[in-house]
Amino acid sequence: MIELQRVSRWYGQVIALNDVSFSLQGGITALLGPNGAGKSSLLKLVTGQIRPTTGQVQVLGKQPFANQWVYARMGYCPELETTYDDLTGREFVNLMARLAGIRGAECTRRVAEVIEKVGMNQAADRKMGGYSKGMRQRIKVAQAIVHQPQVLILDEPFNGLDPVARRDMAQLLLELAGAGCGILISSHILYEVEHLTHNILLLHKGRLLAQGDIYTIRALIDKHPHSIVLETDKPRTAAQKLIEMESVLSVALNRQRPFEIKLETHSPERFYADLPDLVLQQGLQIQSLYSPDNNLEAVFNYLVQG
Amino acid sequence: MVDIVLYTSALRTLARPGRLIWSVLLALAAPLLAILVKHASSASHHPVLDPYEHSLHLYNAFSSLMIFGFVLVILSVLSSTGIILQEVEQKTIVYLLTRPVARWRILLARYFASITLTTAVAWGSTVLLALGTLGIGGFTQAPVGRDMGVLLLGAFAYTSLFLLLCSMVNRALIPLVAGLLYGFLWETLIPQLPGNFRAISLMSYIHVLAPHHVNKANTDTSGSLLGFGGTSGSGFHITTALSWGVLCSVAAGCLVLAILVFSSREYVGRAEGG
Repeated sequence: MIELQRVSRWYGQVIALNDVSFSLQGGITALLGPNGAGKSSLLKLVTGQIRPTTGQVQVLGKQPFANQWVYARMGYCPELETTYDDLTGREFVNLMARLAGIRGAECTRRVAEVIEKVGMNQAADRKMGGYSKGMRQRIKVAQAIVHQPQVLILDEPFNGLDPVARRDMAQLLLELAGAGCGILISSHILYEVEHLTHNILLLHKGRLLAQGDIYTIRALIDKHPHSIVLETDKPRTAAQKLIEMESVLSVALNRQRPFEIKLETHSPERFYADLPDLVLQQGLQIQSLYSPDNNLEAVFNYLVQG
Repeated sequence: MVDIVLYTSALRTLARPGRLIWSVLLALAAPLLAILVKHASSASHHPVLDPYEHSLHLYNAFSSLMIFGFVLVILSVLSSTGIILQEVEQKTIVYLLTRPVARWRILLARYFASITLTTAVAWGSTVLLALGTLGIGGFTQAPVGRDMGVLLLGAFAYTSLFLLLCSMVNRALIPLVAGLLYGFLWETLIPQLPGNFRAISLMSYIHVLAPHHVNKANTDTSGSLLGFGGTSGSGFHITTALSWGVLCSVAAGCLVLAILVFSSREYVGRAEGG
């Protein structure tokens, strides 16, 4: 779907992207990184607004710069807040649909459909100049999906959305991905995309720090202790036995939560393999077991902070 | 279909209420001033010997100085910068550039929208000027039709020239200032210089096609009063055929170059967010 081969992009003396390579097939992929990481530059390359200084960008097998074939199959929701303020939301989406070659009754139907999907029915006939940030965001998503693209690129689409709108937007993106649309979504707020996908691209200072499944990436960081929290009916017995396990580095009881044990392991896979035996031998009841590290925030912080 | 959508949306952008008010004021400026001067002359103690000659004189003077020398140039500059660079500065250009439409079609549609606005205002101003100075009776005797044709050609030439300039930068201020300097300094001063200098002024060619003699007895040098040279008299002779050739060549050549530049340039800057 999207492929970058050794792509670098310079703006004068400033490097925005440095030797970035990756290949995305489908589903939802989150492009993560702090402000200034190069996310927007990467999306501009993918959407053919700019060319790489070196390397090659391909979308659906073709270079995207000023490529109508690619644009017919790609939807793009830019980060910018400015829109055509003198147009209504419906007129804007209609204009974008017609520029995508959709005509007549089909155009009217599709515009109405996407406006409903993004929850803008009530405000669609108001001038966009009076829209809130969240409304602009939703109408921008509507114009990006009106021509039913195969690839959807969204730059910080959750910006300005209230919690309900975020949930609805996430649901819409999951529906689109379920229907076969490949989605690349950028964000600097990790929890926003965490519930959408486990497939990430992590950028920092123009470099691709990590790519792939969030849990796989986390597992690769074996030199960094991996935290696991388990809740059991016999926490002291469990703690005593857990510390004897070779894969466990430390065990801590929680005074506020007396049934909870937090442990650190350098080898999560081995720990998870050994745990069932321990449970059976000691007759432990495990109420819950989770890793607080298995979230994007932890991986992001760890990778970025080195 | 897409071309019509692009053209109408560009025209709508150019004809926003704020802009439209200024365009209407520009269109009204020459006729209103001419009517004022006409009435002032009538009320003066020096009687006008030939009222028709006087009215024609006013028409020629105001058409040459204000419509050709001001309205045409300023509207060409403003609408050329407005059609592309305003969107580049507001960054809304991204919506156009990521649609399945060839860039040359986007530029061409906006080019024609710009010419439509410029020509409509200049034509409106010309018609009102003729009516205001010559009245309905003298309207047919004034060179209104000729002037409207030359204004259209001038709009093509100037818009192409300024569009080329706009396509090469990402900031509206640069072509705006350059365009205004070109229009009001270059095009005014260059035709006044001795020798062949006036050959590098578009206005010299425009005024060969639409000479506005303020005095019928002095047809060769009449334009000098208004800052526009005649057809001869300083070494370089500009013929009508040459004028057509130069203006058409500038219009076509600059437009082709602008399309080439617009099709290959990046119009988004360095990312500010991520």
